[in-house]
Amino acid sequence: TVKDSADSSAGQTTEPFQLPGPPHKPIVTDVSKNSVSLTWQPNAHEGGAAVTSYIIEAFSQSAGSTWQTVADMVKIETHTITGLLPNTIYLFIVRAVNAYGLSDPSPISEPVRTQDV
Amino acid sequence: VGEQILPEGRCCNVCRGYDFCAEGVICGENSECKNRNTKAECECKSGYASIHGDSTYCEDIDECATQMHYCQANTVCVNLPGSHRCDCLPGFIRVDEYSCTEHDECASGLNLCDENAICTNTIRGHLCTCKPGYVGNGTICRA
Ligand SMILES: [Ca+2]
Repeated sequence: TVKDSADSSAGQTTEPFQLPGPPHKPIVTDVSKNSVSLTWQPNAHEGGAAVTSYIIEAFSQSAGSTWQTVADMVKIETHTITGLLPNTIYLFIVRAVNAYGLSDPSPISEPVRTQDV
Repeated sequence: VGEQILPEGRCCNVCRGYDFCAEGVICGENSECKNRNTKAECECKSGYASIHGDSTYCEDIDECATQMHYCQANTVCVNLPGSHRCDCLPGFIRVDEYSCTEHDECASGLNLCDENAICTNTIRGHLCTCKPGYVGNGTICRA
């Protein structure tokens, strides 16, 4: 099936209430040359079904102008993202997932620079 | 001597880590056999959900179904076996895998970001984040 989704505030058949609320701003807990560890608090509003996982997205000017999904099926509120470039500034956001779909993104993390080689 | 367990419904112990799946457990086409402590279990493959609550038989999750919201603003949802895709509406530009936006305010220079900030497009506009070592609201970043 193919579904149009023109604007999130008009013509949506999904009750936004059914989706989880966005997680709180992710906090950077550790940084290395190729990895960053994050932790975040879930939103109190789970929506119409329990939150089953999280999606983590990363932004870096060296990777272009879109957010890349760097982890999904994350089951707990903490994760280490690996495979990052050294000496590079990254931003992170987190979305919660339930049976109805994805939450809005969390606020952006503090920017973090991976360690130099 | 490894730890021994008594599997469900059996007479005799096996060693922990026994490969129950190797005995020939039948899982449906979108399901995989997984070894548990005391038995084998079918588990739906990623992107599939159990039919009638039994993971022996699994069907594709239709992420584009009417009540679903896997794809976010300004996208067209395309269902695929085991996954899905969110395509940008014609003329819209990509923000992330799940959403698109009408104008590339970051590339066009139509943004309020300080030269020491990182510009990110959002579904309705853009955001400015000061780089590490700078503080401010993004429109202004000071060392
Ligand atoms: Ca699918």
